[in-house]
Amino acid sequence: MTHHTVEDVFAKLQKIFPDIKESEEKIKNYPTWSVSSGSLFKICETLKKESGFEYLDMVTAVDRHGKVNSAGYLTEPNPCVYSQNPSVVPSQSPAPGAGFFEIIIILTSFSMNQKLILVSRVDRTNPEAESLYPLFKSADWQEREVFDLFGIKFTGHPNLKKILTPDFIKGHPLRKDYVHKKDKFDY
Amino acid sequence: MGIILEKTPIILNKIPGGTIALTTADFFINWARKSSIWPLTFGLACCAIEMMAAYATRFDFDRFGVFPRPTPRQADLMLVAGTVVKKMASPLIRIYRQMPEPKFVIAMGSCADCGGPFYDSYSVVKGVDKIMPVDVYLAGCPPRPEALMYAVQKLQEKIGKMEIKENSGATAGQESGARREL
Repeated sequence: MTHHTVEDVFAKLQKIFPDIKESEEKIKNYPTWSVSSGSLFKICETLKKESGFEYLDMVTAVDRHGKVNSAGYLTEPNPCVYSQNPSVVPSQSPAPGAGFFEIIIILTSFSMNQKLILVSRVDRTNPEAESLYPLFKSADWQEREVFDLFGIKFTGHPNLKKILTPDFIKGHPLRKDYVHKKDKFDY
Repeated sequence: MGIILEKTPIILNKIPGGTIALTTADFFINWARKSSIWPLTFGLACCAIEMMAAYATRFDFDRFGVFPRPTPRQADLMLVAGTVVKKMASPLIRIYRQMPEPKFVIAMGSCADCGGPFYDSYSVVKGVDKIMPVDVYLAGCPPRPEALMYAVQKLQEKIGKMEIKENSGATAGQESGARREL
């Protein structure tokens, strides 16, 4: 069963999942819905099987750590991206664990010619989300990339390991509190 | 590249049937080497586009004797064109060690010189001279094909000063394979 507009899809989904709501800020003027991380997999399943959103465009994440303005930019830029002395953590950086990650999923429906963005918050201390791999095989490498750069664990992923950074780089470089430790190529 | 007789340590004598030429072994070997620099093309980023333009018809590197080779075993020169990330560093060292002596390296572009815009990045080697000896540094982001041509001419000048009595032309760094053992 397909719907004619994305509003119909939203109204139908809201009956099944009451925690879904329109996000305050739209990303690129696409319909942007914020969902809870627990129901993310089931919402994607419903969207794929009943509403024709059968193509996964992208899986990515954003680290909301520290003060951010409405456009999403840090008001206090992280000073310790490449620190000469990694043991010194600058005092103005927020406390570890503060803030949250946003998992961003872009789905496309070819029958409706419509893109849809799902934003889901996960906890920053122990970030976990359910893998979309059983629904979309294309989520495989994208979730590995998010795992590599942000450290978000996708439960149910068949092969969750580093994909981009070499093995000797420890930590997750796109986290705002990432402090680079000197490796054998930094001297 | 032909031989300019006025700038050459050469003795010419006419004999019946032609000319006999007497010159030093250094000059002759260096002339042969610098007239056929075969580079291994190591295109890593946007500098590779300028490098490809230099090989194409408008700039035509073939007239310098510069023929791109697809394998390190046939190459004299490694043209590191682009950003060297840390994951690419070990393949780069491995391929450099497969090249026969004497071997030369041109670091093309700001990234290969010193890291360029990625000077504080977590994933970029800040200059290819951290992992192998470099003969010519070529600045620019990216350098134009004319600049690459100038770098090859500078390398030819360097090859012209080599002497065969020392290690068949290889520098001390080239002998050991890398400036610093990793």
